Amino acid sequence: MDARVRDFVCNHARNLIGLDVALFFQANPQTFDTPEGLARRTHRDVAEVKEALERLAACKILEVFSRGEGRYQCYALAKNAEAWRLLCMLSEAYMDDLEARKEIVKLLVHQRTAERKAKEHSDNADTQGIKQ
Amino acid sequence: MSDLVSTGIEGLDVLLGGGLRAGACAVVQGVPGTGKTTIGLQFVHEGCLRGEAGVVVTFEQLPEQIYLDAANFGWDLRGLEQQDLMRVICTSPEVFLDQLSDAEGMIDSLLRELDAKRMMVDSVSHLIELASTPQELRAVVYGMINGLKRAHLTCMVTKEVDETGVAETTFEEYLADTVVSLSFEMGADLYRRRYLEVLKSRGQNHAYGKHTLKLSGSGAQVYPRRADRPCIRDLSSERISTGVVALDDMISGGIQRGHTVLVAGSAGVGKTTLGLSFVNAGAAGGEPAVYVSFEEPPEALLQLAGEFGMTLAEMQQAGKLSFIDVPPVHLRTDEFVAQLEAEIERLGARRVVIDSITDLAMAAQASQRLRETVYIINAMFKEHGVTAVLITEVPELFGQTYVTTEHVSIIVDGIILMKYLEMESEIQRAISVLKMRGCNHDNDIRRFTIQADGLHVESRFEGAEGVMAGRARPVPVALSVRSFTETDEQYNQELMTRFRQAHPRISPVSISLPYNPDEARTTVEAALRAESTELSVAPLCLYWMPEMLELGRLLPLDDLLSDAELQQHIPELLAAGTRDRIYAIPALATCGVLLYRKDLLEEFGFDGPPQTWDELIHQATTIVEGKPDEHLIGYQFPAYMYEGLTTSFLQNLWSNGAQVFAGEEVSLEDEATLEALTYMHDLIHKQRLVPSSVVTAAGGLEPQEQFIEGRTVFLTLLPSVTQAAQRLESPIRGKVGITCPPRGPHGKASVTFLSGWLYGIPVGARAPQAARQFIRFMTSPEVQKERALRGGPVPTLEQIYTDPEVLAFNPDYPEIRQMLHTAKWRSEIPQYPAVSRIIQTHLHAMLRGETQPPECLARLQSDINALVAAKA
Repeated sequence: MDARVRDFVCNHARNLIGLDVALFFQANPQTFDTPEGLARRTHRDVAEVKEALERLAACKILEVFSRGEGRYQCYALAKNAEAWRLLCMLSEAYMDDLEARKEIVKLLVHQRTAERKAKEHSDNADTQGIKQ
Repeated sequence: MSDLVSTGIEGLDVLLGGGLRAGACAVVQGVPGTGKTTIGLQFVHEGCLRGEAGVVVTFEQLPEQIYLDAANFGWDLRGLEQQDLMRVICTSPEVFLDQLSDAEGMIDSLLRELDAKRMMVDSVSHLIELASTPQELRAVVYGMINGLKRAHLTCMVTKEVDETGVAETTFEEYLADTVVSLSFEMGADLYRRRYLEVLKSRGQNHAYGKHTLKLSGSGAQVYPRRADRPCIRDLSSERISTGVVALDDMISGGIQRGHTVLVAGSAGVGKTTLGLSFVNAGAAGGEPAVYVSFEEPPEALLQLAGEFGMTLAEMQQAGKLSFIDVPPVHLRTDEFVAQLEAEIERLGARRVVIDSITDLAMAAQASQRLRETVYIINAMFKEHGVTAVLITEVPELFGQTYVTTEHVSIIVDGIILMKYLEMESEIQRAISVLKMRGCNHDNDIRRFTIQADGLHVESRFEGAEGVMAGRARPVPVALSVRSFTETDEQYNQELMTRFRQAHPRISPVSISLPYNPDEARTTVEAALRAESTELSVAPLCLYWMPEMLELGRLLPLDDLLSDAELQQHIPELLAAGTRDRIYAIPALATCGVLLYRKDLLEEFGFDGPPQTWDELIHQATTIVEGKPDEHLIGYQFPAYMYEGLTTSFLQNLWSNGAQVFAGEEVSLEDEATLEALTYMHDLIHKQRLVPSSVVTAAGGLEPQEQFIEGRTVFLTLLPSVTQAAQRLESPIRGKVGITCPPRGPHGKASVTFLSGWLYGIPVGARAPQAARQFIRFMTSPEVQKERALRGGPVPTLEQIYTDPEVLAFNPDYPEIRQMLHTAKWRSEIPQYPAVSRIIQTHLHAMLRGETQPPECLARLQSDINALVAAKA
């Protein structure tokens, strides 16, 4: 698997929601919708989708538009050839390469496990701090 | 830019009169699966093909699914996006509406970027989420449509309706410029059919009604019904062959070019064979053809045609014949019409066979739809100059009460009926032409067979009735024959039996006519005047002919006999049945003759029969006085008040050099007439050679019987008396001679009267063809010779008189033949029937002794002159 894809999975997609959203934009590149609309289309939690959209926007994969005089935001694929290439490589790896797909899933699971442990550690530290 | 924008669906453009108006917003509504999205995509895709960029907005369906669906139709939407000709936008309704209203919004930017001309929004039904009341929803939709119009887009907006086909809200239909409704309908065959209907199209005429919509590998197709297609009737008089010569003869040489003919018949009767023959007949002229077969595959049809020796396979190889082979279950009428028209145009077809419209009827599912389809097909054929055969199957195997249940008969130009019938315990096939526009077609029901080389139309069903009902029975044909003697009557019965055996499909029924010719005439004349169907063959006495021909109630028989056959008849007899045409054929001849006892003349030393009146009186007196038999009668002639009395008188008159008329003037005043009257009178009342009983001998039968019994020396009557005299039990067998009646003192030669019988066919005869066969049989040389050999009435054919076998039996024939040629035709006398009645009245009174010859003459002159004056 290409290192750029691995990097994107680990550092920007970071979880399955992020992966879904990224793949959704690759499959439907002319999408222009709100986090709520995208959550309906991907059948995911709105808050999680919103977090993923923000991450993808932060890394310039998506572009965010403030619309309705700031009442809502819409996300669309960034007009960025490098970003499009990356999404296409991700799609190919996930859709067409079984080994790569396993690896991507493994990375995301490890990522989630590590995040959970980190969160538990953080929670334990907080509890101990309170006790102290 | 054209004012009309093609939808990319040819049939829909036809319904819209060319396409959507530029800038129009069309709502395409329908239940799920009817094809709304496909039509919208096809519309945008068509624009891309024309270099007009388009945008597809989807609120629900994901673009990736749309890409896949479009790829199934061969449309590469991603490729078009890469060329900046298309965008498939996935967004939420509220975002779309907001952006549409925002001058700096995504939609406006996109439209400007692409210079888009077309848009499809899928679907407007999602806008309901943005409104809490119908009023709000209307405002939302109104805003969207205005936004699209502001962008100068031609749009299609899809809209979902519920399963009942009723839209949740209907105001879109008011707001939109065009409304296209798609629907499913479950057919009787439990297959759903898609239909498209243009409900509204603001500012343009559009076709009404539901039209077949089909989604296939190339997208949506609409098949307009074109019921408004004008049916232009071709006035071409050219006739083209059906491939069956005798059938062509039935319809004046063939089917008129450009006509559509319905061929109706039971299963297996030969309709397809006729259809193949029709196509094959065009092969010789290089006429391309299309054969539509819903049941039989082309291979089977080619094999069948090959077995009949038809060259359809070669036609197909040469590109002159194509088959449309649609399984009935997949048949859709509108689609079929379009397919057929395309094939006709491709091939330049001049002949088409549709086998059969029964399958088309099942596809149409309703009789009105079938009628409409046949009407459209007929109009289409005429537009393309196609001559067509439409085959239809009738469900009844025998008998037929209708041609088609759908009443398409009135649409087509001709109808040919093919059917089975049961006759004489076997199944036969019949063909008839029920209708053929512009043609005085044959009305016969003809037998046809299917042989190794195809279909053969043969003779009509002679003398059969009930053919149309499928159960043919011989028609009883009332035939009246004329018999002169008992033997003759027996022979006629024998002939009738033989005729029945030779023509089992005719059931002859003999009708007796009175022996008295006057009474017989009354019977026949009444039948003719009434155009009775009861009498199929009428015997006509020669002297009736002028009156009978005047009635005009006889069928012409010109073509019954060949010229050679006609020339064999004694001309005077044939002429009697002829006016402008031949209406009666001579069957029997006769003339007045003097019958005498050869044995008695020899016994008394006479060298031969009397040549004059005086010689007759002398010989008769000598013999009667010389024989011891007190009952021996010297002479008898017809003297009862009937036609025979007139002939007796005329014979004597003519044989004394006189006549009733000289030109148009009555000429009875001369001495010769008085001599003739006196001769007849004195034979009874002065010489008493003729018994006074002759005046009461009805029909002349009694004198004839007395002669045959050997009780009379001389008898003036007809040659047929010799027949009876030749009977084994007759005492005068071999003792009778025949000669001309004697002449009077003023007569240079003996003149007899010509008579005979002819056969004619009354106009109302129920089986004229059977009657023709019977007349041909009864007047044939075979029958006439046989009759002559039996000593019956003399023949009308010259050839019989020279037949050695006949002459051996009838040695008197040369003399009789001579008499026939010199005999006079009494009907030449003007107003003969009336004149005859006057003669009978006054002569009978004279012969009864009530008047003397001068008085009788005066009365004759007076009454006949009065008759002439009245006529004048």
